[in-house]
Amino acid sequence: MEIQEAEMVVRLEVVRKTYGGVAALDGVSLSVRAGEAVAVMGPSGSGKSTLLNMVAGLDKPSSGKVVVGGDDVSGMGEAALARFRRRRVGMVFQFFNLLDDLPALDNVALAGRLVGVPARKARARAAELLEELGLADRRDAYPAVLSGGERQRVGVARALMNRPALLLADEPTGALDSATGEQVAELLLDLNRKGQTLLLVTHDEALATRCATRVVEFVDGRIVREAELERGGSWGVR
Amino acid sequence: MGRPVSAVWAASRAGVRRRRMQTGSIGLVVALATATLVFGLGLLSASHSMFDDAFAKARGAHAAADFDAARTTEAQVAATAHGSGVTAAAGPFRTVTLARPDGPSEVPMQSEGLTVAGRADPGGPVDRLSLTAGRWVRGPGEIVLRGKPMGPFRLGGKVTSPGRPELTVVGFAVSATGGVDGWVTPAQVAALRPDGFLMEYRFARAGDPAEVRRSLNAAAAGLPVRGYDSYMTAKREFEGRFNQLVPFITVFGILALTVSVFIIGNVVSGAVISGFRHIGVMKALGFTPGQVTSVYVGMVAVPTAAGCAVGLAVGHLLAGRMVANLSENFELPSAGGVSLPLEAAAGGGVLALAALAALVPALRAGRLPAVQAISAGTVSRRGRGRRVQRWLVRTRLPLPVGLGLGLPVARPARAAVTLAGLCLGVTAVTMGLGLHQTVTKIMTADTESRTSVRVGVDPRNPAGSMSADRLAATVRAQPGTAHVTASVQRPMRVPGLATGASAETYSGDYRPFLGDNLVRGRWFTGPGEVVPSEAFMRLQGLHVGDPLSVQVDGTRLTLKIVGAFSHPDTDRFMLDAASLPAAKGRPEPPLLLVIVKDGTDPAAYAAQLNKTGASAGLFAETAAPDLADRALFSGLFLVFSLIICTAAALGVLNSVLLGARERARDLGVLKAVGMPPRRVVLMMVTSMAALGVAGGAIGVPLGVLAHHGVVELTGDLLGSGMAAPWIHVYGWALLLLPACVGLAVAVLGAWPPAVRAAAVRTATVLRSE
Repeated sequence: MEIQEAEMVVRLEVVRKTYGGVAALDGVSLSVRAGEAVAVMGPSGSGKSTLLNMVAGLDKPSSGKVVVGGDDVSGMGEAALARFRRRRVGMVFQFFNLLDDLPALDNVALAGRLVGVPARKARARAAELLEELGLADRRDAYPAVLSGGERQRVGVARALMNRPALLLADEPTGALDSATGEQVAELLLDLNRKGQTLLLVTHDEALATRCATRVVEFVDGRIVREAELERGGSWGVR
Repeated sequence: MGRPVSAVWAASRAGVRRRRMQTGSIGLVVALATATLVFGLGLLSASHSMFDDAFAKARGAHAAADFDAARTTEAQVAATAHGSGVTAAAGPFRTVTLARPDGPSEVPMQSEGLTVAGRADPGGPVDRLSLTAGRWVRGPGEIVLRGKPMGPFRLGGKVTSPGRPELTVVGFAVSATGGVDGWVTPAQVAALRPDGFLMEYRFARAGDPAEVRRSLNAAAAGLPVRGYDSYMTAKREFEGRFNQLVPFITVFGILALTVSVFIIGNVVSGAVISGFRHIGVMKALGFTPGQVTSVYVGMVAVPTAAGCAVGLAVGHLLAGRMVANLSENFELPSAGGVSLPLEAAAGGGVLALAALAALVPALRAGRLPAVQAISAGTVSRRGRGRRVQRWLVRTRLPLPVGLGLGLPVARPARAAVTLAGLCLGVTAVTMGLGLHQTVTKIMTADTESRTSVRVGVDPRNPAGSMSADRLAATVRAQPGTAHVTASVQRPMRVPGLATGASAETYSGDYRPFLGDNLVRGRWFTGPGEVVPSEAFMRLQGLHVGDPLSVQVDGTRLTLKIVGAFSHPDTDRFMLDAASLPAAKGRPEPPLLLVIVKDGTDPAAYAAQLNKTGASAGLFAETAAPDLADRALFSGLFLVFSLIICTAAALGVLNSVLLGARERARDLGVLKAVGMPPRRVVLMMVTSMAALGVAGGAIGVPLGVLAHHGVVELTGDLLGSGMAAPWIHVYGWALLLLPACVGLAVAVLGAWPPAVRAAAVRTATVLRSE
């Protein structure tokens, strides 16, 4: 039992989140084990992004408990949440959310600087990551001149900068064409194969079935279906 | 037609609601700027027409004539009210001059005594009096004095005069007309044995002293006039004192106007520019360029109109109070503050300026294609700025500091405007601090202000023939005496001065009494040396070292000019008493000036001297310096500094507000990757703190230069010159304060929107993006 608990990276206990009386999450309980790749699917407004925000510590539940890496996120103050975000999780956004005034290298290094890594070391680690992700020659390019796929890879590199226990991805291919989306999916799959725990929110069934080891489907703030998957298998979203 | 208009109105209202802090800051900035504008205009207007306004409002008399009661009858004098050229008249009021009592008096009286008129009420067709304290006289034994309570000159004081009943001071009043020092009831004046009639006239023609004299002669129609006071004399006296302040007030007024215009332009146009992206979206939805422009002008118009109304009211009150204080300080009836047409013009000007500041960028946005307008709403994407930002982030500076320092670079134009606002604020505070020091030094630099106690001899006292030496010896024997000098005024003829001059001679231990008001050279150290006023030196084109031939009591002698002191009058000379031959006939009684030892109370010292010296016929009075001008100037400085700094802080607040809105997504991202709120605050505050430091670094030297320029110009305009200690007033401490003001204003202005930006929920920001 203790071993199981230690392996548990994310645990949501009867989490409820309401906005102006409307429940975005309605008593959700969910666990993610270390090394798992969980895809959360569902139609718009089903509560997927709300769930991701709870896990990332960007939002707090109205009731229930969110535990990530052993820390109860729901009870943390703003400063503790900031510490939690920079140490425990890495986030990949649909629209990349890079800082436009900084080149790729500094966008990635920024996450390291926030945890106190000296500027030079942070840049060296960022350069390594960019090289791993095939962006060695684009390290000094600003986001505006990068393609969508390149920007998303910079976003992934930034998310991995502090070697987080959990990588969160919110529609990581949503703003990309299919070919570029394919590259990003391959990247996520590769990361998970190397042991990176992944919680993925997506509309894209192909992405989910390709990358995830488990799929959870949300409708109206509730989990309506959950199943382990063989990678590349079929899910059949309703 | 109705629907588009309602759509524009709805969009404007939504904009106002959505941007509460910005709307609030526009309203506040406009209110502050309008108040400053009205205040500045009030001061400028007061500086140029205060006497005339006060004179017109109080229906001051062009001439106050004194008729000898022994040679005229009341009816004859009253008939002059209908004389040729008289447009209004008051009187006749019966008058008497109360002689100065022996020894000390609770009420300071001139050696020629106190002229009192019997007057039933302070109103009337001419010379309406304004009470500054207490009430008007109601019965016997009461007197209202000219001026205002000051030091020992207070309500409840007693006016005593040999052989006359004692009078209690029940009020103080100011008049725009000279001639009388106090007022009692007509019944009371009859009991004081009056010997004159006072008539006050307003004439159809009174443009210059000669016209006043001609008009008075025509009105008097041959009745013998014992003497008269022309309003021109009072006006000149007022101008002589007030003109010293005019350059300072003008500079502050102009600064206030500049800051107002600047901040309104900055904040209002900034609000529109920050809405470019939204403007693009509206155009994409089908709003016409005209409608888009209307929405944004409308959005700015609501807080602008409200701020303008509040500002007008506050400015009206402030200016009224300040002009009233000025008037009171110069013992004039209040001119009533800023005129309503001027206020209306100020309000109209503010609205026009705000409309212009909003229209120019809004029209530009209206003409832009929607896509371009959308992209114009984001921060700059190119140029040198980015290299600087990249460099800053790569330095060893803490990350929020590096990122914060880079923010102004992303918006160089806005940063430049904010910096200019901060510079203006720091310049104003630096100059204001310096001018405050200068005015204080001017007011305390003369001999009078160094004196603690004045000691004199009553000439009517039989014991009053005591020599200056004996008198000085008596005073020196008094415990607590530090320095004593005897000062005597001697008439002197000087080539080039047709009306003669006045020599202020000093004997004894005079060095500690000589002030810091030397413009050039040095003070006299012994006989044969003279220090004229700078105005005389300039008039005659003389230099230090030149000889000066003078004539005193018929004796010609040549003195050596060793220095010049700052004074606008050309007939003032200071020298050692031994430089001049002994006075012929009965000498002028000397006035002894005393500086008491540290720790000695001048009042107690004077009281003791009055007790011990009464038999010798001497009396002592504390020399209470008139610090009203200084207090007034301090108040002015404080008000202006506060207004200018607040306006500059609001400029910063606006800048951060706009920056935070534009960078909402970036801030969200930073928080999402783990930047805690306090570091976000630090980053935003750092961005402005850098400008604050730069504002201090640029504003302080500018302020010092401006101060030197204004002070030297004032000295030149007055012809009095300025003493070096009045110009070089800045020490390190005095420079450090305004340098810190730039930083403080920037941090204070940046703090509220930075905290607000840091507190925005990350998920919301990232979702809305």
